[in-house]
Amino acid sequence: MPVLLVTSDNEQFRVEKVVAQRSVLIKNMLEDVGESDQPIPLPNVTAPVLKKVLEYCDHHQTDPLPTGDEPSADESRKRTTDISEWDQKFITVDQEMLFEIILAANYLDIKPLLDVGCKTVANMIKGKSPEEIRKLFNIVNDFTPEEEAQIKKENEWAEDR
Amino acid sequence: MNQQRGRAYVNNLPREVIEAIFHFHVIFYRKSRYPLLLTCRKWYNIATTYSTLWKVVALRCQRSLPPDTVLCPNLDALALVINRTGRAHFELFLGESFSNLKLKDVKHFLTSVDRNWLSRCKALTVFSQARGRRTPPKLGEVFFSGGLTSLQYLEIRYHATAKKWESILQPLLEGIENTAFNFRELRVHVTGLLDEEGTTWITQNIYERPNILKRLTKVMLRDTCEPVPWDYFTSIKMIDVWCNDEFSPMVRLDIPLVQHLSLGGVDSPGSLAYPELWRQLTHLTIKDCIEEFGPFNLDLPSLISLSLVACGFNLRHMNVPKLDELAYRVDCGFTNGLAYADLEGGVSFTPRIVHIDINAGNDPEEDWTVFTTMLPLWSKVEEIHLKLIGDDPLLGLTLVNAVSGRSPEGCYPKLHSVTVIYPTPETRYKKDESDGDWVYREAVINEIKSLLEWHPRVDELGPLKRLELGWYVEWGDDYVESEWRVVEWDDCLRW
Repeated sequence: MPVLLVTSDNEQFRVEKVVAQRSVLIKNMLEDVGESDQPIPLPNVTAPVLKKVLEYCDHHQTDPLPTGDEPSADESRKRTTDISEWDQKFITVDQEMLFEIILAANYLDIKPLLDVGCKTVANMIKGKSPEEIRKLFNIVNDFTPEEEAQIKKENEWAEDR
Repeated sequence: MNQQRGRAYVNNLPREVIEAIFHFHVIFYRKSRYPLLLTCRKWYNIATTYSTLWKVVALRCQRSLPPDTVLCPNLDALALVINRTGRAHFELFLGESFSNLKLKDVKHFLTSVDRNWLSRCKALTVFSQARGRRTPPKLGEVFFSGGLTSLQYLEIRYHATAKKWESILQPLLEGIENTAFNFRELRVHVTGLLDEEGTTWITQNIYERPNILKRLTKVMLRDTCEPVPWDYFTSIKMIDVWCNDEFSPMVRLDIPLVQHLSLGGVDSPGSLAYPELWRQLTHLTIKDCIEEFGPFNLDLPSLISLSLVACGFNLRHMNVPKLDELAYRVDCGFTNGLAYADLEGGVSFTPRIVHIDINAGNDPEEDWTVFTTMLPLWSKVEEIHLKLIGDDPLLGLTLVNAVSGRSPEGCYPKLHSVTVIYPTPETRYKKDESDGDWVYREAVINEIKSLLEWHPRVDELGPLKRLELGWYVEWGDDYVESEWRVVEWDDCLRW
């Protein structure tokens, strides 16, 4: 049975329930409203982002759903898995879209997608200096020179592992 | 200015998502916390209050440690890190020069660290103490002056040539006796050639405290010398004892609750326990044993899990009718080509799950072929978990062909799950040998691909339900799972 999703910019997406239910948020909403044709509003997600998220959900529609409880040993183990080839291609997008997908995955409660996004960002940080990270993400260095010197001094032992 | 033109999308993420990114960066990718602290104020605030990043901490420790450990060179750094754990529990390793700390520095540490810091320590390991400066008599008393209310685990590592640190051990044990009511696990790990005094400075202090012993559910004693007062261990469920060549701390075990037993360095394990105990065991580990005084005859009717770690004896005299799971760990230094001979020749058990170390380079090719393809041992194996060790940690063509069913066909007729773990390339190659790193990764990927390609082509075999590739980091010398950890997994069926 298809489900109607409405984005913040008022676009409508008709998707199969099994695909929409990859989102724990949508799954819970569907359970709350029961059998109904009511559209589901998603005020925190724009159409281009939802389109991408649904592409992920469609590809992963047959994956086992993570349980809501404390992760089992096997699920925890799976969290350490590298990003699969398909997921890597899927997440190769510009930074704005990458972070929008992460935000949407967090809001829609799609844990595996959130993990893919977080791993991608962690991979981008790998081996970079603070200056390089700032440059990569357009982050402004908002420390005063004194603060920066103090943090460096306090943590210099942590520089190399 | 350029930085200000673009938007810092990353900092629009909520705190818990940035924490997750830091978690992957530090815990899974084992990268430095340092750049996270210096990027911007927001990252600094998140990193310094995200307890997970700091919960495994070592002071003045040169030993190899779990990969996510924060290494503190001094007490100032330790105070900083412990304060960053907030109210969370943490694990602490005290390194080789802990006993050389100055008392005034410890007192200063106690004024700068959270007042209840010690009550959040869940696990404590104290390493051998290097000889040198005299230990301040009050060091232990002052350092362990807070309650150890959360402590569940204590490990004492002592090398025979190192300094004895009784003045630290006594107040520590007193603190455990009086405050650590959830204390469950004790490990005493002795190495090196002991003098006449043996390990009494450790064991006397422990064995005279029945209030501690009765709380223990797990104990590991490696090469301690003195007889163990098992009567005091009234809650014990898992025993792990290694014996020294010259001293044997074992008296016959007769403990009703014990179902998990681990023995190491024992020449004749059958004589160490009453037959009733052997009959009730469900899990048995035998480590570092050789068949010096005749075959091991063990009747183990309840046993479902057997681990053999760096052993050298024929297993045909073991009667284990219910065996479901076998772990076979090999000493990397085993170079005489007989590492797997014990699994051949009349072994009667046919487990469903096998965990095995693969040290392929050491055995002659014909022996290796017999071992990998012709043993009755493999006839009912459904899951096989391979850990690559040694100088050439690859499966090799013979084993790839066997497990994939290619050659000879169907020698693992029931196999449906395979996991293979390799040492992380960075542990094998230095930074300036990055080519070696990639060559090795490529070789690994190629052999896993080969497994994947062949398995579906063999009609007699069912489809693989699981094929996973992992990378492990090792930091100990026990060949046991507590001393290595898989830090990455990849589900190869999705390749």
